[in-house]
Amino acid sequence: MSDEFVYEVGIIGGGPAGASLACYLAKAGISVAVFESEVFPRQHVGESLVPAVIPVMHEIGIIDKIEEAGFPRKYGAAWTSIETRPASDEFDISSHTLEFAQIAYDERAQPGVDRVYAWHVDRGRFDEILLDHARELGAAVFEGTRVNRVDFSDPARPVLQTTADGRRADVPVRMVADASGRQTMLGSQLKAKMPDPVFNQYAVHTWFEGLDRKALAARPEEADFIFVHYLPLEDTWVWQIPITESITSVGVVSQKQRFKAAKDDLDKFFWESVWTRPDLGDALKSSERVRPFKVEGDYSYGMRQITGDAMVLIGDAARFVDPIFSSGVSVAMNSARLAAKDIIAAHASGDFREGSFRNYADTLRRGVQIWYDFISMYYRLNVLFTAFIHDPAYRIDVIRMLQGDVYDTDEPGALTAMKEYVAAVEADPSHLWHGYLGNLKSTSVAATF
Amino acid sequence: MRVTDREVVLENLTKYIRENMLSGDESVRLTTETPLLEWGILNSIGTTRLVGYIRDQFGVRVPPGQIVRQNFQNIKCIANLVDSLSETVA
Repeated sequence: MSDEFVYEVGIIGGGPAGASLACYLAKAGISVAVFESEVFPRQHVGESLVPAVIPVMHEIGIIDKIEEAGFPRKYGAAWTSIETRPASDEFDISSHTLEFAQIAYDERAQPGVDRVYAWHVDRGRFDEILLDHARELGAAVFEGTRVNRVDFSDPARPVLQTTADGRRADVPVRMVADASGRQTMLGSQLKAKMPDPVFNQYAVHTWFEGLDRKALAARPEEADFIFVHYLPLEDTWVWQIPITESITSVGVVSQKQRFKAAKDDLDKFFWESVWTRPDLGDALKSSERVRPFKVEGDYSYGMRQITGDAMVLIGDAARFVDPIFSSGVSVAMNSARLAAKDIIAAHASGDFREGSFRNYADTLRRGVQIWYDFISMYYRLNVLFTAFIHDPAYRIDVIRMLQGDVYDTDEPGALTAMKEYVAAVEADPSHLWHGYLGNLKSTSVAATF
Repeated sequence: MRVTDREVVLENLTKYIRENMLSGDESVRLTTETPLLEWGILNSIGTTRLVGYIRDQFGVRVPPGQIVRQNFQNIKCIANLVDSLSETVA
């Protein structure tokens, strides 16, 4: 077999995971190429960031560019719901009251984070800034170039089989990083992908011009928080994310069967969902939709493995659970950070076999497991999430998870307590919250990679 | 817990429930034996808030296993719960 290779590391996908990894490796003087099937800028969902991206932005030297881009700052998160009290036979106390919970990032100092906000971003622009930065640092970037397959027949010399403008080219490298996002290029090729047995959510989303973001806010200064509006439908919620001064991203997340019942009519599904909250329906009706509805389905999956000989999977290509806590870009950029450490060490030792990436796999598994359990508890017993936010003993710990501060750490105490609560509620039918257990029953499914 | 303390607990709980669960509606006949759960006065969000109120007002934390029907049937039951939890604290 040939010793020749064109690049040391070939990265599939130029989103935040791939671009961040390219930045780290280029800075370390490793020859790296990014193969991106689309031409940037392109639209992408996943627009709300958490502060856990900030240490990565510092390390790859992009934070000033992100500030200069003027994305709306995200100082916190808010949840709203309408509580409907049941009418009784004795007397009618049926009423609707608006319920709120909110947190601000500045309530907790976060290691490595020097500002009290993250950002809401137009992913078309944000991803382009990141990829341009990788190029500037010396990474080779090929847009409009699709990787169809990776030939691993010589494990010491994987070959990326690419197509651009209908022309095929083989690119031998020393190792491959799959950052292809929800397309899960290598996971699918290697049949390592496993649909999540618990989460089966769908999202239908679009952008609105002129939405009054204060309409459902408790306090006007929180209008530019991310909002999660619960709908009075099981496991269904709406995101409200500021994109610019006047544009707002809005998405409905619900279970697959509700979506299927709407017979793939996105318009109908979206409006029927939001009108279950008349206050939300009214606010949206008075604004103008400026993008077609888009759908994300077959949401959640894990991988049997996220490392192999001459191979790592990062970002959504490694795992995706649910968008509820805006974890996507944070997982992307932090998995790039963790993988870069191992790849740089592997490069120094010349050993690109699977054992070199063990630290990455272990650390990411722990971090993603915290996200996964937090998301599971949230869906399983929503009332608990609200109770914990209002409990001074747990609030800071919950904020820590919402900041995305879950890597390189043990399980937060609030999460352990949440699991104990859920176990107690599940075990006792006379528990007052028993009837509020959600459908998404996860017994904390262990990560499989 | 002394008898007077218990009176204070009952009074506080009644006031809290009238103001927060009944929106201060005086027309509802609320006694310490009104069946809060059967009448739908106390619901899930309500119990999380009530548990928070008990924590802030009386300094007792209701453990997950105690948020059960028999402890929240009426104001008397809730006062008994506060009572038993304060004893374990003391």
